[in-house]
Amino acid sequence: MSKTRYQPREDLYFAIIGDRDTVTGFLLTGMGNSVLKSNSNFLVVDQKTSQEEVEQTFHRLTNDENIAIIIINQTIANTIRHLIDSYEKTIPTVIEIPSKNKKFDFSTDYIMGKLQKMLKKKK
Amino acid sequence: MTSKRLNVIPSRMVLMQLRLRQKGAEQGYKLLKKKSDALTMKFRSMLNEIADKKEKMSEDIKDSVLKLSKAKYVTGEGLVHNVIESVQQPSTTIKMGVENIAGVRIPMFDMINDSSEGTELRGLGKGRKQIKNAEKKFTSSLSLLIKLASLQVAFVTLDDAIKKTNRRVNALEHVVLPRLKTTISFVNSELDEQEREEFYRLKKVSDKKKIKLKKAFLEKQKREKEKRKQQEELMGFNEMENEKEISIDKEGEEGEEGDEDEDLNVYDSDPEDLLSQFQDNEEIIF
Repeated sequence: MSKTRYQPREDLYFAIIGDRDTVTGFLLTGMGNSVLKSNSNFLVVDQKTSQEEVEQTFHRLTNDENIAIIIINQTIANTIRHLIDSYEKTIPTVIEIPSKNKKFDFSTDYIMGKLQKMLKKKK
Repeated sequence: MTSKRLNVIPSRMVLMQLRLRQKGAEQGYKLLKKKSDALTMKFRSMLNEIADKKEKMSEDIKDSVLKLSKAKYVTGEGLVHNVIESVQQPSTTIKMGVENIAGVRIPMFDMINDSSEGTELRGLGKGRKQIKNAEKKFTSSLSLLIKLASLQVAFVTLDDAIKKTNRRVNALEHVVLPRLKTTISFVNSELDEQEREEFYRLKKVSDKKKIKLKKAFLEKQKREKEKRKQQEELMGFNEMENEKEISIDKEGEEGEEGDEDEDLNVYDSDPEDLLSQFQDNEEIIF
């Protein structure tokens, strides 16, 4: 439980970890930031990308205080599920989106998991 | 189980302090309960919204990816490379505002689109329109995502806040208040006990005094009897000498006895007076 007081800010960025097409699409909106190559706010994951690299990027992005929202493909999220499940900070928040050609599985999404439990409890 | 009493010395002052504390705790309990209810209400209304938005988002993104594929089909694979390489300064950023719900600060995201640059660079001939379409679609997806992110953050923050508040509410309801109540009743009973003890003690003291006085009186009587005997004995010697004097003495003795009776009455009434005096004093003390 973090005891941070949220202050209004105006210069926060998105971040994205995803497959080539998803990343490209979101970069079209102009959210990309790669003034420094090592500090870019997006990661294209393909067959060549190692698990380690994904994990490292996730760590780097979640510890960046200029980032508010991390968008991540569900297939990639599944490979680092242990990190996402143990992730406790509220900001940056992690949002899972469906991967290309795959149906979105609501049961694995960590927010949806909590949500469904509560909805069931309500009923 | 948890209603162990506090470790206090039972006295009137402590009782007053405890009552004040109980009042404060009850007030705090009421306020926190209200806060918890307000947060829970907000939370409940949020749950369904998040579920809906998630579903909508997943459909929306699928659509966006389709649009991008179309653009790619027209412009060729070079587009992807081109887009990724041409990224520099972000033109779309996030503004974070803070909303206050029942004293809980919840961050709210908003998108800022500074579209003065970037889009023109990607005008690659005939595919331009398709790219524009894809870009629009993705921007709308992004704004949906940002709303979802706001909700998600609010969800997590509220969840935390509700848990925290409920913990406090439960602590007050099940630990603090019962403990105060048992302590107060303990102090009350202890004070009653003290009062009873005090009363009993006073009674005992007055009883003892009574007994003492009675003993003193009996002793006095005894002594008086002895005195009389001695006098009688002395009289016995004098009897021979003067018979008339005896009768006069006897009358005197009778008078003395009457005096003694009056004395007895005085002693009898005395302890009761004392007791009532004690009782008066007791009232003054407390």
